Amino acid sequence: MSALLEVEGLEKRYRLRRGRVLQAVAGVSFAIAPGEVLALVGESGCGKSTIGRCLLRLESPDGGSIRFGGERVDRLGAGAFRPYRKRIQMVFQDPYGSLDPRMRVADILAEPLVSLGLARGTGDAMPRVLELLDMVRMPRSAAERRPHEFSGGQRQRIGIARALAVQPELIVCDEAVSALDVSVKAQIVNLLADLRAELGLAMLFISHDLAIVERIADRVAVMYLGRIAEIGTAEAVLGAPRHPYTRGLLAAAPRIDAPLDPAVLLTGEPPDPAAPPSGCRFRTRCPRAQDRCAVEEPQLVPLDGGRAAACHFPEPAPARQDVPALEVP
Amino acid sequence: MSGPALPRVALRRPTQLEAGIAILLLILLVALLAPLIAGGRDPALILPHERALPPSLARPFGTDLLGRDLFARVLYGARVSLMVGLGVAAAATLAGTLVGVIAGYVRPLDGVLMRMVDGLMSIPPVLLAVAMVAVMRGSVFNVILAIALAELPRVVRLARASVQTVRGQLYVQAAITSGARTPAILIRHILPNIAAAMFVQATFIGASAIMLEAVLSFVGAGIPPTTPTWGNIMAEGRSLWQVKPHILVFPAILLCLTVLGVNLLGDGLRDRLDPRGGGAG
Repeated sequence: MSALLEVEGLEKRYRLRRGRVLQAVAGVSFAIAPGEVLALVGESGCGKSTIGRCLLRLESPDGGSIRFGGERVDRLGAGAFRPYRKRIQMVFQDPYGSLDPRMRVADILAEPLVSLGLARGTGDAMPRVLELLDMVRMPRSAAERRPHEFSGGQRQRIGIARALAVQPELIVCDEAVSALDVSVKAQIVNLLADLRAELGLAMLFISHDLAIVERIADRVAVMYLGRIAEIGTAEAVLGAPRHPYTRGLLAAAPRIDAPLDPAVLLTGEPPDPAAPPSGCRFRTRCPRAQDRCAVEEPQLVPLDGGRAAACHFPEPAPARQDVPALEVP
Repeated sequence: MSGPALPRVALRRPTQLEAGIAILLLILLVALLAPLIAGGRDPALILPHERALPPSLARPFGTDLLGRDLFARVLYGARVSLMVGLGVAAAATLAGTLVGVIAGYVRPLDGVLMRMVDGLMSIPPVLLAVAMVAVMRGSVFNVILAIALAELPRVVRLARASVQTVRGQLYVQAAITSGARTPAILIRHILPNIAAAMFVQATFIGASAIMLEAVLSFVGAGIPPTTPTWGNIMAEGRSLWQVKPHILVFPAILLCLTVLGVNLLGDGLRDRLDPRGGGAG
């Protein structure tokens, strides 16, 4: 299976005042196969949105490589990258800010088609605009209206329709449902799941909401301070986490069927990303940290169940396991 | 309820926008029809034996120190004021928006352009206009140019700040990911979204230009004294305002009314141009 998107050692640094440097993304690698949904989860500020923005060239990465369909795209100029915009699109977090208040919905949906040369104008794009409104379950009459006439959920449907306009192979959903009410959130996630099944879309689903990730993701990558802590199938990572951070994150998500377990709950705040701890970035909050963790930075090591974790002392594998775990030296 | 309903239009209070437009239309009409309304009174005709007469039926606003008819002079003066207000508003807004958009969107040019604007801004507007008129000779065109230059920094700063606000909006980033090129983003997203602010600013610039022109004429640095303007009429009346207040009062009332009209227009437009307001303003 050849990957649609391959990200290798991606780095992004921001220069702060007084010569301080914030390493938002510190060597992140992952791949997404055609039609696959990879969820990127983690606390705020862990660099997950920066990765999405790098993929769409809203930020330029400082290191590593991004390959799309086997072609390297991170070094391309703005003009050379344009053809790829037909293949990778984005759904933004804030459905209020991401739609131009002065444009009609028809113009908003036609913009990618016109900009990328697939239509000559909004009139020309109209059949596709109506088709898109059908796809996101919006009435066709919405085309003539302006964003402020719609609710947050409806606006996000419009945002999704815009991302789908040019028939991309991959869409990056940057916290696409975080700003919505709970009931609306479920509708939009279901819509995304349906569209993905209908269109065979691949997605990079950036979120901090594990319940939603569980609903939509095939694979999950957990990030902490700019690095991937654990990555693997959703079943393995969310069902039986091996990295202490994943475990803490899952323990922090309230569940109906089990009380919160204070033993594994994370305490404290994430450290200052501009001055990460030595060795393992998570050691300052890790219940399993030992001396070695302060010295040596753990690398991602394949473990059981098709997942890899970056931890010297991973949580024990689940008692009943079908795949033998690779022991970490 | 019984009886026929009263017509609603008659009862509704006019909005700010309507009031502003009405006042300005009235003054525009006065300016255009000045010769007609003045009824054959010549604003330049000097009648030495009729100096500084108080208002009467024959001379509604009285006469000035040279015996010229003030009614005619104030009416003709409206032409200069409106021309200056409109000219400066248009020139300063167009040029300022252009510079401001470039400074706001093209990062490398921002520093250079804004320091130049800061330099311009550090000179007091009246002083700058006086200096320019002194160098170029006073004419309506030169006065418009001088005041527009003095007003330019305000426009540039507003345009730049508005562009920076808009360019950070998600919908601009969405346009980038949609494949829109920079000129398209500027024309389709940035300009329409700053237009309302610039338009409202233009009305305030217009009002302030009308006053600045009056100030320039008042200090004798503006339009040649043979052309009647509200500013030079008031300047003349200034020394005698305690004994002959009519010379000062009439042009002052018209100046206030015009500035009020322009400001009402600006406020009304601001409310009206908000896409969410629905024109309720």
